[in-house]
Amino acid sequence: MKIKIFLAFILTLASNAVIADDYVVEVHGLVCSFCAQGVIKNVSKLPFIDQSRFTKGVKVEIEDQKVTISVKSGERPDIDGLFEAIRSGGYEPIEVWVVQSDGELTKVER
Amino acid sequence: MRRLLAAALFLCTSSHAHQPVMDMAPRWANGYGIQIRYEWYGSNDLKRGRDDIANLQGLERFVNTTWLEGVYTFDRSVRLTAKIPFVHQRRVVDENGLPVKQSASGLGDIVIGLPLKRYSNRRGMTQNWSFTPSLRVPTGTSSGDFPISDGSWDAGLSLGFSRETPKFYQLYGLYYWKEGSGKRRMQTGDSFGLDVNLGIHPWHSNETNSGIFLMWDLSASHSDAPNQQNLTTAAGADRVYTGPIFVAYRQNLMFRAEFKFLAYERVDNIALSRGNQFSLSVGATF
Repeated sequence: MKIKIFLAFILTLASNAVIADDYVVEVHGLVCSFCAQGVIKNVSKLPFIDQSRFTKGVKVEIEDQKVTISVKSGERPDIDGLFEAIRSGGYEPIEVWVVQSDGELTKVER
Repeated sequence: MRRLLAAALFLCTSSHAHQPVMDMAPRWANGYGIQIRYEWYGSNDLKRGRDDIANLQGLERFVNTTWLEGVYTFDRSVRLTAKIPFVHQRRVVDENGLPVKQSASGLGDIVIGLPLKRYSNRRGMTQNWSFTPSLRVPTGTSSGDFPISDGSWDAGLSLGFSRETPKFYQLYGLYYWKEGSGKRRMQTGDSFGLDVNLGIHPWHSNETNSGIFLMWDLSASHSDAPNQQNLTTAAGADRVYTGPIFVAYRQNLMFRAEFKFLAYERVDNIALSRGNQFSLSVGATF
């Protein structure tokens, strides 16, 4: 019984160890998190979003006007769809970067 | 379900200088919000012009209103708002030299607004100009000795500007209400005014999407005198209110408390002061 529990624990750790890719979007006008719910609502519905992280896969940082999204492992985000979701949420997406494994940001060309 | 809620909001609307929930939200397409707001004002201070005078008969007037407010956002530039008031009011009036108690309760006049906004989003700030035509529908009773409504259809217009950064918030609004002719030959006077809100956003958490706003409100208004047949709470006056506003939010829920201190008042002839004003509201956006 103890061995089964141990194996289940190891499997759980292994599944959580699959880290999704993060992308960061600069969004102009994003200065109020209460007002940014539309961004979270729209972006979280996109099929490539990993909703298990952040708030339904989306993190809003108003000091830097950044939206960080968690993308399902192995999937490529639809940047046009992402930008449209942010615009529909009331704001202006400007640029997007992918977060590399060393934490460095690399700009995604559209 | 969302369509049903949106339809319900369409059916029950009214607006003023301020938006339901907040000026800020919902700004997303197909977003909607509801808010319950309790408002209280009244006094037993009798005035002649700007001066307090002796109130030997104990005249008074107190009004409690619970507003059910809704907003639907088609996209960030077009919203539809509705405010439904439930009024409980009481007063003591002078009738032939004797103080007489009167009271009334019930549905007030529903206000419907169509805020049209032009947003500008830039690095570190967002701002918008808004133009809001409004209609006040005479749904309140105009019967009895202390009617809740004068029974008229009224038209309003407001022009607003707000600007927000992560730390500061400011809103300026001008409004004008043109009053129609009511029932029982009642005619409330037209009114216009200015609202200014200046505030800070001293704390928020990105992790929990929660925070607070602290603001200061300044409101100045002028109301033309009603006609002789008017039986409602309306009175011709110039007033300036000022006071603090506290707003707390978490996720899609918002709480707002507002105290308006009557800093200046001049009434036409002899009339009861409107007194200080206090309101509490709880809202949610979806």
